[in-house]
Amino acid sequence: MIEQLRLRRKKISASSKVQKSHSGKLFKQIMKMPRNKIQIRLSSRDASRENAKGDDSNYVDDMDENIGVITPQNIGCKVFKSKDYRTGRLPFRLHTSKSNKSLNNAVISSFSSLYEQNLKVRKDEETKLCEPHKNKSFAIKETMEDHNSDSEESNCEDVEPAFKNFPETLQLNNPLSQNLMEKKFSETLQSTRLNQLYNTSDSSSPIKRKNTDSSRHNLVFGRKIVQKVSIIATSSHKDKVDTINQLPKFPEAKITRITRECYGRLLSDLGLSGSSSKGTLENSSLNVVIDRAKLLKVLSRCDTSQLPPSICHCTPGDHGYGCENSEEWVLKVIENEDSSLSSLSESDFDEFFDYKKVSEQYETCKVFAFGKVHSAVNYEANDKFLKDFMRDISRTFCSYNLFKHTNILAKFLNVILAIHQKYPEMEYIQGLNFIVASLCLHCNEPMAFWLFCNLSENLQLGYYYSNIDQILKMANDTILELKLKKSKTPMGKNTFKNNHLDSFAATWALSLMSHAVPLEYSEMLWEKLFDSGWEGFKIIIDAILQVLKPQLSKYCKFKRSGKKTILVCSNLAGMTKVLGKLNKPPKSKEYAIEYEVSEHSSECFQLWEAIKCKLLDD
Amino acid sequence: MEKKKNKKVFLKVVIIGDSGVGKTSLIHRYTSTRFLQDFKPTIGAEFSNKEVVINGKTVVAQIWDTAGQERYQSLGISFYRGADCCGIVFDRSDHSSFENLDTWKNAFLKHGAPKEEGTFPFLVIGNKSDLDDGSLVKERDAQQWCADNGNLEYIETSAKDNTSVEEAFTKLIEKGMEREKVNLVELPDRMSQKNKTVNLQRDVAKDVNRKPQKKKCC
Repeated sequence: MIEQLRLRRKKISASSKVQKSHSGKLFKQIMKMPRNKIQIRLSSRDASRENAKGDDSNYVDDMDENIGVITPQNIGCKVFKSKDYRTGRLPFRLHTSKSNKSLNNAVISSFSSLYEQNLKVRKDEETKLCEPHKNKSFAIKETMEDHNSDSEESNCEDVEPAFKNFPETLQLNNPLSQNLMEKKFSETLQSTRLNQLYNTSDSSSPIKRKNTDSSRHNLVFGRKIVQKVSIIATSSHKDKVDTINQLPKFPEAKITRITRECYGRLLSDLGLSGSSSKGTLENSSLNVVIDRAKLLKVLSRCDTSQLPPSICHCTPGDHGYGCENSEEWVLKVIENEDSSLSSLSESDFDEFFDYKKVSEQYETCKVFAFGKVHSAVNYEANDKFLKDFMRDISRTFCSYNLFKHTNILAKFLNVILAIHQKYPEMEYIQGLNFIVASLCLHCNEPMAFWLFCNLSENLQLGYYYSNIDQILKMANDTILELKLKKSKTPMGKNTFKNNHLDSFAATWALSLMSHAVPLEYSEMLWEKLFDSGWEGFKIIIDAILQVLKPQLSKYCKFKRSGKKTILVCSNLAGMTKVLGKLNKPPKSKEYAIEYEVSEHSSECFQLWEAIKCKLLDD
Repeated sequence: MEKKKNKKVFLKVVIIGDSGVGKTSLIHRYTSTRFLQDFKPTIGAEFSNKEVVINGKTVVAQIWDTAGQERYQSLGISFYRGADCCGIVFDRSDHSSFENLDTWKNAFLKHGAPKEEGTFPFLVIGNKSDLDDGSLVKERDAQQWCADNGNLEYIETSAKDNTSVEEAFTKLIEKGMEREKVNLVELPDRMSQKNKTVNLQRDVAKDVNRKPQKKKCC
């Protein structure tokens, strides 16, 4: 097994001396390696050969930093043979964040202790080395090499209990090295987030030690984890080969980057996905386009049945399908559909809402959609809707801890897939993800699906998503129109053809404001929308404008024509600044305590609190 | 107040590019000097103002952060209009975003309809330089594209490491200023022409008409 450690450092200067003392194949390999990387590869795959190996190369960076090279000798291992390098590649690579020097040192020391450990255990034939730390700075990466045999796949089920104990694999025989590691890590990993991850994973399940030789046990676990990830990421051996064959459409090095970023997360997800809602997606690398096909597959295997019907802070509903609010919305939808019904009460819920039928319909859609996804390896790449959506899945409400849980993401994905199946002609527009995610929070999958379908039919979302120009027109004609004051345009440009701006209301309408409304306040939005459709949307916009009026009135004048509001703007810059606040993402409050509430966020929550009060007053 | 405002130069800077290339991160880095940890797709457009002093002039740059999703392009009309300069961002680690530069430039020229199509100040920004694993879009290729598209300027940045972000925006604003100068010279002329030239023309026309009339009358 190879583990590559990619790091930048200052303090390991001793290693550069070791590099000089190197000769022969290792050095040649060093020279062959791309110059922009520093890597350590530690291998223990082939027990009959050398247990460990490493190769390295310089990391050349724009910044003037000392570059250090870690060699096998440096960490107490023998030099590997070159054949190992070519053939013995195993799929994991550890990398530390470039900037964290102290962490790097900790990693190095832990590695060396692991190695000492490993050398002792090596007498056993099947000793495998794994570095199972889970933390933000690590990402464990699978190279796209096909190394899994079918026999390994059959082990898959046995690995499951071990997975829950994943963090326990940190336990080593040697108390010294263990202490050293723990000490170093606790010193360096001070961020609350990491500590939390660390703690939750430790407490997730009781320690199981089947083997007396726990170290060896752990090493075997490590190897099985490798297998597990590869197996889960790709459903079968054949599938995997196909995937690999398809992937080289990307430049090859990109795969490594994608996988590096993605697998760390997937691994930690998988390790915890069994234990209810503890699986979370790492935040560290969400900026990178992740390997979407893989994520799709992992998410499609998550068990969402363990989730409670509603994850929101509202009162739970009486019927077990969602929160109290969502049940009200259902009643409102039914009322609106059938004009003969009015003011339904909770007791009528069961009578009018045929949950069984809804859930059947949902399941059919979901099964069809997943059938499609599974039948084609790279299905997602050919489906524009899914392709666009998968880019955003990790960017939806990502400041909320909730939306890092794999099970919740899976729930979200399930609903989206079912919707896509039901309305294949509906195009994906950024904004749709926020609508669905926000609905998913309040009720279970079939309900969220049903509510969305009704909402979309009621508001003609499908039509508007395919014709953005129309939503622009609609928003301008009925909701809000922005105009530039003719006489005074401080922007100094006369390039506006007809003195009217058409951006805000339209973009708000595309996401139904759901991207701007903090999740804590989402129920008021949905209440209005389910109650009276676009009219309700207009009410919300009006409330927002009323709240913002004191600030806005410096820059523009309010006019009313019919039901719509016209803003005649005299200072575009000022006005856009005020209105633009609404478009900025709110930071989480209740759902993610560990995030700092920034100035902008508190302002944002004040704003929404005021809007809520305004709506309640009316 | 108004007098002070008039002394400042307002610039509208529009940043465009594919979804997920880091437009918002770049702008956030520039305006608040921090790297955004939570990544959220931009819906529609977002705005931020930054006041900078360039060449002794106070410039209020209004930076428009646009949505990258292709479907949003038809909404771009209102965002692009009145722009003084435009930064096209691509992700150096995502080759398809580089290939889309053409589309973005053309869309901007089409929807933004700036007066000077050929010389409108663009800056091509290659973001995410920190993800250097040997597969990034090469500088040579990017320079080549820029040369082929009217000698545009190119800069490589990283919003995460804060590499050349300030530089990129300064360059962009300077370019916008140059354009502004041309416009500033034009603007007062136009303003005065609107009141005077038109009158003059009328006078001339009247004169032309009157003279013969007078002659006829007499």
